Amino acid sequence: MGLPVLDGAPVAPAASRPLRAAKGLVMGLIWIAWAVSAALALGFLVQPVGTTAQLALSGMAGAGMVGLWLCCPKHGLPRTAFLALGSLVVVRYVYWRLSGTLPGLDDPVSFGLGLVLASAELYCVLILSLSLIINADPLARAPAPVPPEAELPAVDVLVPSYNEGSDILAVTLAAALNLDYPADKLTVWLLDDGGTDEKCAEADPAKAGAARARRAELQALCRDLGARYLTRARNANAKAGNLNNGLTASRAEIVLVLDADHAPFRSFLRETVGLFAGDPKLFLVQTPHVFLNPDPVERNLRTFAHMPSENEMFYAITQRGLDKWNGSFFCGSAALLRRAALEEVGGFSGITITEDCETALELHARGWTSAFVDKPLIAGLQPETFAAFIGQRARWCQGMFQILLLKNPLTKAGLQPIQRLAYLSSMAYWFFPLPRLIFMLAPLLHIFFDVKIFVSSIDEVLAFTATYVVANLMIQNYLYGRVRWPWISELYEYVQGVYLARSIVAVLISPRKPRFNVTAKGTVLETDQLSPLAWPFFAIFGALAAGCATAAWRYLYEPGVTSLMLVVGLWCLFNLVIAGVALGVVAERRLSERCPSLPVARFGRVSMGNLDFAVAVERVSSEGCTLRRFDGTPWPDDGGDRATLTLTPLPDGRVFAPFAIRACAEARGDTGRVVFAAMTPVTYRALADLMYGDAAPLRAFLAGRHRHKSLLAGSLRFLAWGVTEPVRAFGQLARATSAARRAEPIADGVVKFEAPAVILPPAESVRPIPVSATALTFDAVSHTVEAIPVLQKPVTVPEAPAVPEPVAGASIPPMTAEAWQAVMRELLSEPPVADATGIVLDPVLWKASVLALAAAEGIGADTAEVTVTQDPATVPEAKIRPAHRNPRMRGAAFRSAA
Amino acid sequence: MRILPLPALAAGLLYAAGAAAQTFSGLGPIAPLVLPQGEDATRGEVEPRARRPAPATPTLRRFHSVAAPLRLWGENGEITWTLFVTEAEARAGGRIQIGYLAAISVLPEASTLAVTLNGQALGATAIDGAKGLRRVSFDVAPGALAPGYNAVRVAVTQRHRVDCSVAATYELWTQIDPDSTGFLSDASALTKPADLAAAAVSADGALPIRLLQTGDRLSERGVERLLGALQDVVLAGRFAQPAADFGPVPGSGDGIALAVGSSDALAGTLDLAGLGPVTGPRLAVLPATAERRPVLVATGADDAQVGESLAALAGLRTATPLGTPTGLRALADAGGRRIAGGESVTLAELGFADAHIAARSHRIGFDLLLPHDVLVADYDRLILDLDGRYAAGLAPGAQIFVEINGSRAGSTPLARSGGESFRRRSLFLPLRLLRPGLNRIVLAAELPRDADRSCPADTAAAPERLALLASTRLTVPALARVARQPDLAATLSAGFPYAEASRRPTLSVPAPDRDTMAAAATLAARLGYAAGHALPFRFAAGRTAITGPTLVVSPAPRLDAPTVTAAGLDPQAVREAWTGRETLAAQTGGATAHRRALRHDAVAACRAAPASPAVAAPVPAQDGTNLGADLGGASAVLTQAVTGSAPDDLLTLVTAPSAAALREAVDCLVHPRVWNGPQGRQAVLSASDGTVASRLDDAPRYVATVATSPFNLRRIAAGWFSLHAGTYGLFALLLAGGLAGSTQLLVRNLGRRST
Repeated sequence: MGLPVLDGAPVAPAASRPLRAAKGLVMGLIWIAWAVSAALALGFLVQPVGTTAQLALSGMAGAGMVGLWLCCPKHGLPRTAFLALGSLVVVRYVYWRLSGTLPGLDDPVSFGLGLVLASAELYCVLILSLSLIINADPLARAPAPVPPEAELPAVDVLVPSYNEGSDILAVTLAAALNLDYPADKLTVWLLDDGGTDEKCAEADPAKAGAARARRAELQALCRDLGARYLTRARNANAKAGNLNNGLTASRAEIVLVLDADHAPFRSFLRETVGLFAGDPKLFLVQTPHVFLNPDPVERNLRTFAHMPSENEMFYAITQRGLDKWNGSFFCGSAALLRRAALEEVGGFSGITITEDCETALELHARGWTSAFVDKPLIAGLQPETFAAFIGQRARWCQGMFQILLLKNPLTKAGLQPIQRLAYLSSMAYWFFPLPRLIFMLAPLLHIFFDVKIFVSSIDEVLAFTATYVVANLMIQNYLYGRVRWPWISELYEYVQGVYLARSIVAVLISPRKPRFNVTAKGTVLETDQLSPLAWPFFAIFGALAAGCATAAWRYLYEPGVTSLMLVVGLWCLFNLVIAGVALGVVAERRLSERCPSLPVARFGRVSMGNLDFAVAVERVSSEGCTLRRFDGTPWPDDGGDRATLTLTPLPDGRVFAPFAIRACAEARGDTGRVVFAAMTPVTYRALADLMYGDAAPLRAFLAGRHRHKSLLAGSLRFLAWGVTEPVRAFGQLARATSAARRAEPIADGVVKFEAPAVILPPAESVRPIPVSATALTFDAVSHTVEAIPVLQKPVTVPEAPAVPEPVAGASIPPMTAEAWQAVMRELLSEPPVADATGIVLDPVLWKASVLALAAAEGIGADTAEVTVTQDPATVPEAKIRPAHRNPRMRGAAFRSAA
Repeated sequence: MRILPLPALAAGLLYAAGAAAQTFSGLGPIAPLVLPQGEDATRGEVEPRARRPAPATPTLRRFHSVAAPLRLWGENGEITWTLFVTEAEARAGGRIQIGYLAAISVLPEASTLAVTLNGQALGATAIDGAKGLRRVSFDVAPGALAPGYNAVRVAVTQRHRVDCSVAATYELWTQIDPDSTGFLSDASALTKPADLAAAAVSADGALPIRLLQTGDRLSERGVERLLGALQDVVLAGRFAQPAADFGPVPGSGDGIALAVGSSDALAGTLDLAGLGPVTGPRLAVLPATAERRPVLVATGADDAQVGESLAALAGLRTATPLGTPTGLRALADAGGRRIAGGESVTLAELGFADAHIAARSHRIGFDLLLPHDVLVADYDRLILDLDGRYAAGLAPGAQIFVEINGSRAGSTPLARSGGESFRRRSLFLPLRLLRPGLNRIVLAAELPRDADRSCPADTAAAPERLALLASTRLTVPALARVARQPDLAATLSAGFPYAEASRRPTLSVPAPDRDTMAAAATLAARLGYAAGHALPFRFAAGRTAITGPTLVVSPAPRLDAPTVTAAGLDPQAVREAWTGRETLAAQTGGATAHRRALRHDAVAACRAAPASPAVAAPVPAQDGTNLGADLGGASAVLTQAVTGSAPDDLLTLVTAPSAAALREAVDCLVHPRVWNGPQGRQAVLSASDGTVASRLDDAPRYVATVATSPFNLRRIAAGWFSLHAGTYGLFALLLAGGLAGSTQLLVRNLGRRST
């Protein structure tokens, strides 16, 4: 394998040939040493020794691991030694599993089923191996150098949008405009695919009118903010096409891609752009995605405030691991790209529905390099409801498989071997639904039907399987314990796996068929309710519960049932716990905050009627903020309709316009919530600065969640959920059933589930779009983009509420990360006000949702779209919308086969 | 060849009653452990075993000893012998007589003893335990036997008088009396060498073989020639339990005598008139007379022709055996089914038919003969795939279990209340329970029913409880093949390494008195039988330096300290342990002792007086490593030690407190039930009951025995590591360290570096 370029330390061109030869020789020797030690270890581990020797090996390896864990730092040689010891146990298990536990060929049914289970386990080991290689030494980068002002490259910020509201876009654009960067080198582009000519000329007058209105509104917004509006004739090639359109229109050397709801913090460019100067082949600087709102798991289990999010394992460890091997890839947003590189491959790729990874793959294959900056520099939104979450994951899953099938990294020319493994890992990861379901259901075969798919004696199970599970958990917790609590990976896999298994089959059958589904967002659940996708989880839970009961009964009362039944029963019980926690995930809690807030640390004064007092801004969203009085006096009950919030100028001299605010009734002690009464382009800039001026409070909040969760504590926590969450879920189910039995019409409080919209590619039957006579069309990708005609639409500013009397003389306590977390927890642990009568379980609704999901996956739907062709010249007009670009978790998770 | 004058030897043989003939070889004084020999010199001449009442006609030809116990436990049991008959006997027919003693709890009305000859039922009789030792006879029609080997099987079904529980079935036993069990035929006569196997064995199942000493000098060369001929006789007659001794006359009684020499040399001892004029090589049998047992004569006009006769004798063992198919199969399996590993064997192939069991318990047992160089450890497992079915109504606790060499190896419950038919139900049996050589596998079923709490009035119509099909299959995995030294089991089961040594093995008898020489010859004969060919022993009388493959047979007082030390024993400890034991004599025979032996299922050949109460209590054979040599209670000690770097530099020492005790111990040792006991570097034998306690070597030497193959090497390594689990773990840590270090080095130098 060739040596990747050492980042920041390229071999000096002046290095003499003998020096290089010597280095090559040294590397050769190191490789030989490694190969010999690996071969010796492997040869040693595949000795068919007995259980006593196996126990000795596992015991010693386990003791070594514990010793290293407790006594040594978790990096460098101790880390490698820890993983090597764990690998001993894993390899022993795999050897034993393959050589001694498969049923005989004379029982084909058992053999076949046994092979399926063994394959699932092997997959887990494969993913483990890949993740160990990739995460061998996650890269820790020094802060990016900050070039002198004059040498800063010009940056175009591309914000592709499809259907986001102007308020969201305003914040994102304003935050982009607020970036700490020379104004003359920063251009912010709104790439609107919701206002294309095609949209404006829809046959449906209402839709056409809405599109035109959208275009006009956004043009006005851009003009007022100082951004540029860009749209195009047709929604060709979805997000990739939209971005390529933006690329054509813009011309800066560096491009920053931001999703419409991903607002950058002010320091984004300062912390990233300097990397481009150091490496002329650098095409990508990716930063982590951070979300302001919890995903369904976090929300329904109430973990957002204290448990690391799912994507943090991917960004905090895997992307850094990939970065070491020049394999970190584009995640669709929050990334800087070099125009020259993109132009070399004809812009963003669009063969698959995950254009980001695909583009990175193409560029890596051409020798370009990537970098990952492990600092939260944007904050965005993720799907709120379970159904939206599943829809989004189905798309990622299918997109990654599309790449695997259509642009297989193993055969892609130009990639380095380690990069092949990196991409393979990211894609193969998405097979997880199949093994997870196999692990969930396999014990039932033995419990109910006595199928022996795992031939072993009980002492071997203890010596091999038990030690393997323990070693596996230890490795997982050692590597990821800071960012992933125990068993959470299994939970995420299971809740996705139930639906994603079908997506996998669909894409394997027809790799070019999947279409882009729009993730529902901004959903508000006014009451607790079961997800429309909940029923399979109840069914599986029921089956597992029956399995556990049967196993217990058989073990206790059926003569001749051996302790193997006990082991299988425990396995089933473990699955039941996972399924129980998953019930908690699909029993959705009410969700009232449409615009999620984030912690900030800013100060200001509020004028409210005749009050005037100093406040600390604790949390802020695009709708409003949470303020705390410094004087400790209670928040005024009736602040009147008119009030203003004036932010204290920053030390760097920046001064912001005051906000017109309106107090809510949610005051508690000295803390009160206010909403922004009217937003102007000027106040949007101020709001963006308030929210995204300083990433430190958010980082402190995130760091507060990064506390190591021990195996024991994590397992107990998970077990507690396994007990309590099914109770909650069944409670909701009972209420929903009784409500349905009353045959009442759907209560007002229920938010109707809307199937994810599907953007169909323009079929050949689509009528030609009339060329608009207006100059709105950006068909000529000229450099006269500044001359975009803008529909004039005055922004109406509501009348400001009455300002209460200010209260003077308040002291200002410091705002700390702990304070933010406390507030956060308080907010999130607040018991939801459940309206029992409002919870319904509507089978029709469920069915509709499932069908919609199926349609989104391209199964059984009445498909009218064209078949995607492989010819890049005729790239289909794929159906991509700018969606939340969550991390893929590609290859991030480490599977446990338990 | 150095011919040593052996005047004292000749004197000892000619004047056997003379107490002066203390040293068999007459090599002068034996220092320093010389102890009074008492009646040693007389015992060879007047053996208690040989002193039997004048045989009535027809004579009982007893069955040869078998490795299986002669006690049939439980409700069902069977035992199989091979019976060699001459052509005349086959023509004439005769009777098969079974002598037995049964437990008093056996209910005669419901218990039978059935005899099967070559698979054909011969007859059955009720078992009556209340009448003491019984003898029953079954007529064998003329022609029912085939010349050569036939199979005789005795099967018993036994029911308890009052208790019908499974536990009570263990009170049911029938003990076969080897003394009174055998074949009677008017035509019995050993007349030709090809019928050697028809020689009459003694009451304890051994075949006495008198090595005739002719003339007044016995050279070492002569002893070697006799030893070679003895081994050939044992091989030709398939005598697993020989009892050789030297004597000037053939003597009377059971067994045969062996005379080797030129006709001139033999003429003084034997009347060769029956042979006619000896003008060429002659191998012939002088039939028995009232005063003389049959004598096998290998002679000729000169030594060269004698050599040719001996070659003809050696050729007998390679002759294809005659007999019925059943008989030949029983013959083949008599020493255990040969298993080399990597193969399966079904019960049908082992001679078992589908068993439809109505009893509460059931046992079947068979022997597997593994290679002597098999390394037993848990690098794999035996798989027993059971085929069968069981009826509804079995009570909890019903099960099939497997024992390997007496240890519980695995079990499977028969637990479904509605019964079940099972196919290929796999039982995994640990490989470590096996041992080199003979292994006894027992499949047993316990089949209680709730109804068993009260005995049914009618015992005749018992329903079937279990059907154990003959397609049940035992799979023996590929075995690691490497010899460990010292390991007595390898030596006793295959003569290793003496049988394969590049050098001639030495049989060293430092004090060649009569008993010691008898013990040495018996051992040599048995080792030759184990090896499958005669071992070319170099005989060394007197003290010699220990080099190369050596077998030393001597009473302890006649051993010099260096030999004892070289063999791995402490001379001082031996002396202290055995002082005062020199004169202990064998238990006298008699009806009471005989009855007692039957009551305790004792090995008839092991009749030494218990040395101490500690030994009188049966000591289970141990395969552990920590059993000390209780020399004080031992009748004899077998010990083995490596003496040099060559694979055959191995010293085996067999010693006992006295020459008489040594002979008794060896007679006991060669019984098939005892012979497979010793293993490891040291084995302590109790010749009063045949129990053996072994001590394994902690750090044996490994000697390659088969062609190098990676698979075998891997199994050997795995076996070794399985036996040294701690080392395996430590090695793993070491390798993990190496892997971690090299990986860290690699990772540091690949890709980007953290800053």
